[in-house]
Amino acid sequence: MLHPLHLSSIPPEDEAIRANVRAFAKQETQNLSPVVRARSWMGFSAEFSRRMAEKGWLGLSIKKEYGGQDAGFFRRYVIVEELLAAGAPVAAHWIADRQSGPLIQRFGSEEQKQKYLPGICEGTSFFCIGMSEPGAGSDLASVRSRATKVDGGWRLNGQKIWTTHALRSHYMIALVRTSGDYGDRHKGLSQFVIDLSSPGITIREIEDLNGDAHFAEVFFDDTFLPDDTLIGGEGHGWEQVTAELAFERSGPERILSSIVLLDEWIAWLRELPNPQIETLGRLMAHLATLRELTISVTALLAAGESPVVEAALVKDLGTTFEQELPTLIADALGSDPTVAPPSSLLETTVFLSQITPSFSLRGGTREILRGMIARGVGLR
Amino acid sequence: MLEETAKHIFETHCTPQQQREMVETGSFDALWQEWQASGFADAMRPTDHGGSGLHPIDVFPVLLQAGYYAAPLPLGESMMVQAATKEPLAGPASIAPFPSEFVSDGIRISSVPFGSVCGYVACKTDQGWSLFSTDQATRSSSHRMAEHTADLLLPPGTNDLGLQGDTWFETGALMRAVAMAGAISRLADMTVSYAQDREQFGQPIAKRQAIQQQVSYLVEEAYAARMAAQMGLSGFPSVTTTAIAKSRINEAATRVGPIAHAVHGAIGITKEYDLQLYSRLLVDGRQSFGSETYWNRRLGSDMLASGLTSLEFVQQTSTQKRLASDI
Repeated sequence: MLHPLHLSSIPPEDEAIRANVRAFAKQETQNLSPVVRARSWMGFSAEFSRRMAEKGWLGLSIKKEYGGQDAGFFRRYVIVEELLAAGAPVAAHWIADRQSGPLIQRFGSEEQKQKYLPGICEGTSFFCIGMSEPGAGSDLASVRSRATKVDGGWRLNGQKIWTTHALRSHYMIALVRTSGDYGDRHKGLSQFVIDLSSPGITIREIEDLNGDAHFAEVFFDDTFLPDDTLIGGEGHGWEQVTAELAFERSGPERILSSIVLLDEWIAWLRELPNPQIETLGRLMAHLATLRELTISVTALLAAGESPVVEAALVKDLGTTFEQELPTLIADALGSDPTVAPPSSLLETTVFLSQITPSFSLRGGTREILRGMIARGVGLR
Repeated sequence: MLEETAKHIFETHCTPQQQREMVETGSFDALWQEWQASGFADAMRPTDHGGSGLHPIDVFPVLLQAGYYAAPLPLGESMMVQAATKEPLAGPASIAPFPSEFVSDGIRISSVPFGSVCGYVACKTDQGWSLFSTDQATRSSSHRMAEHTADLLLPPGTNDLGLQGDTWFETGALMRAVAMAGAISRLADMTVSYAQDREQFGQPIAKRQAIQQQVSYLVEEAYAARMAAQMGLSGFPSVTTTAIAKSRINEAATRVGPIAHAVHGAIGITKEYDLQLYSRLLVDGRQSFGSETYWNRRLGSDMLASGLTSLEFVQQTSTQKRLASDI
């Protein structure tokens, strides 16, 4: 049964840090052009992430004994929201902060927590996600990368693909097969924390249609994984990945990926004699509603619930908004060919229009999410 | 608890069969009396005037259920009017979406939702907003509208009972929007269960991905509509949150109605089948009190005038919200 989503609010103690984060984000992004800021959570800066850590804004859900803030979901919500609105380059710490850290804290051994979590909280340990493979996209259970037990550890052979920022990350948390075969589906999968500087790993970047290289393919050739890199239980990979995806789908990043463009456009509208207020009004009605939906899902997470289907539902609505936004703005900008919009605004619109198809692919495709919702309401 | 009580009232006094009887006989008294007896009618009247002093967000579950059951009376509107007049009303009060006209044979008020059943009407006149009894009104209902819309002609000399405030158009829009969110939820539930029951090609159509994808989208829109309804009530009397609610719910209505009908097939457009009780409400509601374009324009111009960034604007709206009391 799906939870109804009740109107909820961000606790005042978390709301209280907003002004500081906003000022910091503004200062950090003041010299970045709109099209660079529009990279949103793809923009990578290790220096920025370290400054975030100095502020105490990383590892928010990590316990203090491991260097975290133990501050909960809403603190991260406020911080993430302000950083994305400013277009700050959050990618370096993004994955570790959002899901790898919480995953290790939840499923890792004491030694693993002590080894990995402090670096995540200090903004010096960057993680990537090793889920997709050439033959395992939406059908994640068909991963073929295989770790075979050897003395003192495992030997990994296989390939991952579409791994965001693999070349700039220190670790990958990978889902691989440790027993059984292709037909065993969810059984026999395990997760490892792989040190990407290990021998037997080749990483090749893949350029996207905009000319950016954020994702990569990663090859494992007899890569040795020590026993203590297995995270959680052997054969429990699927359950762990499912839990991880709930974190991945529930945040404000699923509604704010195009926000830099929206604000650039609004600034331009304010200079026009006859601005397209109807399109703007529609976008604001959507944004306001989506934001309350994400706050409501966050409140469920904070209450210890696992709103997997609700998060999928909000993500689908959110990415639809993120995708419509550049389409509508492009139409508005071209609606009066006698007025030339600023070239930076045009450039940002084109950049986002080209990259938005990825918004409903990453973190689970629209069709997969709708399949989950269908199951959630009892259609399958 | 409020939700359960409201559901009980509608389950016993507003079944699809009873709705049809109410429309045929023109007698809506049983539902109205039950509503009065439940105390909901007084829910928002100040406590020092015998009411419960609740804020509109507190009664969200009740207003949502009224839409879910397509209650053929202006229940939310009556609660809001009673909160303003501070006096109990003898019958349901509607809000008129268009300004009234003084004509030689009285006061003409066009296209009043529930105009064929209301006991009072709040409408805009040259002097601001007024409240009139419709006891002596001539009602002409030219359309078969789910909202029981009628043109009213009040006889000359009809007393203005007095109504404070100048945002009754916005209040009317909000009440319609919340009821629409309820009807949207009903369509979602009906469509899910129809897809589970209806068999074609030897299995329930729910097993087809083409159906699953559409119905999932319908469910998403229902979540968005309910959230927009909560925002609208929560921000009351803010015009910004009302604009958000009516715009977003209108848009959801344009998407949900067609999917619900498509999944139901031909049976859904029959008079006999219940789907139309709710889908027609959406068609009417979208047209009452401003379409999405109207509200988008207001919202867009407010946004530009605010000087804020997009996030600052929605966040400011959000921090002014009020959560429901624990009742």
